[in-house]
This record gives sequence, C-alpha cells and structure tokens, in this order.
Amino acid sequence: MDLTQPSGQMPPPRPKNWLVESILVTLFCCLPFGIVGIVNSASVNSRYDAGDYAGALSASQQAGKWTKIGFWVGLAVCVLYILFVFIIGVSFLPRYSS
Amino acid sequence: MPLKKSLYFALVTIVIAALAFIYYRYNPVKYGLFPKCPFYVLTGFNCPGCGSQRAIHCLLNGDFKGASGYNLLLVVSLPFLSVHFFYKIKSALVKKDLRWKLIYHPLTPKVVFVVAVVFWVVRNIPVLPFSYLAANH
Repeated sequence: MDLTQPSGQMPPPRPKNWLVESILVTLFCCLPFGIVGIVNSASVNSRYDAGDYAGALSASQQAGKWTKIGFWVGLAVCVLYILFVFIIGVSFLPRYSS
Repeated sequence: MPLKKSLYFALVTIVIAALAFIYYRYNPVKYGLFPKCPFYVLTGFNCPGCGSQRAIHCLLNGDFKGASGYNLLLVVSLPFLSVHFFYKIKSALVKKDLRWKLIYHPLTPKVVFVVAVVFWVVRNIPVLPFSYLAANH
C-alpha cells in the first residue's frame, strides 16, 4: 500500500483489524497472544478514525503478527501433544508373544 | 476465483468438516488424545479458552447448557462470529469486500478486551457463583 501519498486525497482503505481472528485464537489456542491481538485491533480502529493511517496500518500488521504467532504456536502444541500421547500409547501397548 | 484461492477454501472446508466430525463423535472428557491447555497445565489456572473443546462437543450434540458450563465466553461469542463469517462468505460470493461495521467500531475491540480479561480473572475465583464459569466443574 502506498503511504507516501499527499494529504487531501481519498483516505486509504481501512486496514483489516484482525479482531475476529484474535478472538478465535484467544478461545482455541489457550495463549495470551490472542489478547495481544485484541489490544492491537483496538488501535487499528482508533488510529484510523483519528486519521493516523500509517499508525493504523502498523497496528494492523502487529495484530496480524500476534494472531498468526498464537495460531501456529497453538497448532504446534496440539501436534506435539498428540505425538506425545501417541508415542506413550504405543510404548505401553501390551505385547503379545506368539 | 483463482485456482489457488479455491484450493485453499477447499482445504479449509475439509479440515473444519473433519474436526467437526471428530468433536461431534468423541467426547474430549473420555479420550486422552485431545490436547490439554498449556496454560492450565503450567499454572493450574483456567485461560479464557479453557473448556472450548468440551464446549464444542456439547454444542455439536445440541447441549447448550453443558457448553455454557464449560466455556460461557465461547457460547456468547458464537452469534457474533457467525455474523462475521456470514459477511465473509457473502463477500466471497459477490466478489466485494463487505465488512460488518460493528467489528470496525472504535469501541468494539475495547469491549471485547475487557470482557475477555474479566472472564479470565473471574473464572479463576474458586467461590460460587464465579466458579460456575470455570471449565472444570
């Protein structure tokens, strides 16, 4: 997006605020990253309304960054947990001798 | 719609459908394969998302009361999430970026933040009626 445009033109489109994605991460990834995302979505809305388009865009990128970190860390924890349970389960399987 | 984007949508739909089937069919209380919340395991406190997996199992089986007992925040946020995703699907169909105005209202993220943090704190107070909000009762 072009941020160097002179003032007086049409305002740039409102950046994505990641609010819903942050709520989903808060509810499903069990990590405080979703809350960081919610805080940043608040600044996306308030900075854009105050005319600080560059600030809104950088808050949007921050919100996106923390939401994605939360998502991937949450997913990694799930995968590791399932692998862990699976390995333990396999090692405790009863062995049948023929 | 470009091929890459439709492939992405197909993949997401398949994953969601598979997860929905797993959470419909298997109760996370009874099977150890469902991941535990890392925050709960480390600290012993509930996080705002604790109980979501059990709540989803209840919801998919039509048990709203049980779901509210495991994670009230999830049940309360569902109507809002549905409206948002309705707008998302509609904008994909009409090929326009439609947005729900409420999501972009300056107060909305602040209210969500306060609700999430208050819920997080209050559900860890081990006294009735607050303990009704905890995931493990």
